[in-house]
Amino acid sequence: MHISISPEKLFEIGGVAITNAFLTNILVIVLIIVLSAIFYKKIKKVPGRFQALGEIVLEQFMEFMDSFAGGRKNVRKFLPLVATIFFLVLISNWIGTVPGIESIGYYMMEDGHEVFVPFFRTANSDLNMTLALAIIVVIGSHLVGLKHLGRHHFDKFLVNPLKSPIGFFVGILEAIGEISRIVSLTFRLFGNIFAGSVLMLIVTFLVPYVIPVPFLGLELFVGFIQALVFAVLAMMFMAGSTEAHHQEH
Amino acid sequence: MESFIHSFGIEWKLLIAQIINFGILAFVLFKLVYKPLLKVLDDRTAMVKDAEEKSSSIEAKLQEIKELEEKVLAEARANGAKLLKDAEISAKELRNKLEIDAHNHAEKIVKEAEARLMADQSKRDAEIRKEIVSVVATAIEATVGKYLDSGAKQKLNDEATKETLKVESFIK
Repeated sequence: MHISISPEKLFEIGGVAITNAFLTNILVIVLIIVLSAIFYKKIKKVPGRFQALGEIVLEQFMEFMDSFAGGRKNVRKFLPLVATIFFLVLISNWIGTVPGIESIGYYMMEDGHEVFVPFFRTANSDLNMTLALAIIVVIGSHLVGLKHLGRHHFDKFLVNPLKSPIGFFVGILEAIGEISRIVSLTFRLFGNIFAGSVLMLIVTFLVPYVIPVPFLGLELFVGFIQALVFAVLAMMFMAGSTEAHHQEH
Repeated sequence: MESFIHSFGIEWKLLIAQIINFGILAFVLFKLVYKPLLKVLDDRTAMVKDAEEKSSSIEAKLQEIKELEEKVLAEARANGAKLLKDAEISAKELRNKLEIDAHNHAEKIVKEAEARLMADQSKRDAEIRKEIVSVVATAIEATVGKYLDSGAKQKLNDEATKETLKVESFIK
């Protein structure tokens, strides 16, 4: 049994190391794009089953996000980013439970030991993926803030220490908070999904039959919850950036 | 820091590739799913709103029509009642008039009948009288004619006629 925090490198393309998690991510993105293309062709005024399902999912998603975004207007504005994060994270998490992912691979020698390298690994058990999403969310929220508030968006970070020493330190804390947002978003998703993968690996290693089934259900649930949490936080950061910062003295 | 990043398998090239991949996915989903689906939902919402507005407008019009119908029906009922009353009055007047006319006509017919009867009676009386005189004259002629001259016959006839007329007036 081989457990590695970092994903395993499979091959290189143009100097970029293609890992098994990255490959899974590509697979998920291709799958989503293919499904989207099929969905797009089926969109009509009178919806079929597939379109009705899509409409229900989108409506429910927007309704759920209303309370976090402070209104439907904000939800619609940030929908492309937040919903994409939600569906990408959700499908990436769920695809990890598909038989073959993390179980089909090859053996290679590493430091004199024979280690198993799977062809596919859950995309979110790779920090590159979760960190990329976290960076997109945080930088995206700042871009939104800049668009709505202009240079005043940075007022909460840049305070003149001569005018308000407390405000200055609060500004430093806010800046640290932005970094901690990235760290918390990254490691929350990574930790949960990586832990789930490890748990499944151990359970399957100890008792290969029947017993892993409830854990698979748990993984599906955790995968959904984590996708939702990530999307909700992304929506809150985005919506929060549109509001003017009021300094308290 | 570098060893920390390395131990977690973070590679800047992969990170940038993930960000680009996400950007592509977001763009494709926006074009193929969110935008058309939101348009369909918006169109449907607008259609429902429009239908609701039309429905409320139709309901208002229906209410107006019902009120108008009630008004027209009430007017028609009132007019009908008035017409019926007028018709009753006219019919009563006509009946009375017809009754009077019929009565007058009947009286006239009766009078005419009586007059005709009287005339017939007089005519019949005259005929009877003539017949009686003729019979008496014939009887006298037959019984005593051969014994009397023409002057006496005439005198006798006249006397017989006079007496007959007396009897006749007595009978009357």
